[in-house]
Amino acid sequence: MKRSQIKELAKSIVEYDELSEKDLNWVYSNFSRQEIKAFARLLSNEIKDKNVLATFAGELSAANKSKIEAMFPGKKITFKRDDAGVAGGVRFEYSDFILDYSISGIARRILNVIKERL
Amino acid sequence: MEIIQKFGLETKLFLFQLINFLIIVFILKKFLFKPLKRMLDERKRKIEQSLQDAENAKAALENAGEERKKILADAKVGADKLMASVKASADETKEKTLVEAKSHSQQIIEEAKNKASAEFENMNKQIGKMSVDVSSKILSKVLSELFTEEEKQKLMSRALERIDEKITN
Repeated sequence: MKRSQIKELAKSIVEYDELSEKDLNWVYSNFSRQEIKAFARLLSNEIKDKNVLATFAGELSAANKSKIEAMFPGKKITFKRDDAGVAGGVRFEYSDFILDYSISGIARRILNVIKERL
Repeated sequence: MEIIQKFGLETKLFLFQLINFLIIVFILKKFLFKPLKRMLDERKRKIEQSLQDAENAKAALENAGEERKKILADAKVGADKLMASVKASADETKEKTLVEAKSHSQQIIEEAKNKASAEFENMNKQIGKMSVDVSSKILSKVLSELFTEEEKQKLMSRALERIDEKITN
């Protein structure tokens, strides 16, 4: 199977959010070892590209939730409340990026700078 | 002649005796005196030679004594020089060893100081990092309890506004 076809398959799986055991068995029996590795890598990239993890502190108001959804159109957003890890503000993780606008993140960055300068 | 006759001297006998005497003198001179003189001369020469040899030996002995004294004096001077040279060399070696030992000990002290300094610095850094880690943990604990629900909402709104501004720009 061509790389483009494998990529298309991974994209469809992520888009329809469906990967049954039957599908997996089909992949394992029909793909070569190299193709399985490529498929796993592409599937992982697709999942990263299509998913956003939004971590926040406190209650998430409907207005803020709408704002976040508007920021990442067409992507599946997972909301996670983490008061201890965020303290205040919000933090997004998508693809290979991290957008950290949390109080804990700012404090962590300051402390890391201090640590590096020791 | 009368007187001669009175004494009973016979001319013929006298002449005969004289001739005999001369013959004996000749024989003695020829066969006794000459070898005897030669032997005496030889003896005299040997004695003189012996005396001369003894004289020479005495002189040689005196010379040998002088030579011995000179050799001893030279040997003493040589030994003194050698002793002085050995002493100087020993002093130099001692000095050199001392300088080297001092330099080596200085180096060891310097290395130990540097090592201690590096270790101190390293320890300082580790302590600093540990204190930062502890501060981070305390800070995250304090921060999570610092803000009220309303403040958290405001902070989130503000963060979203800032992200929005960044995306727009």
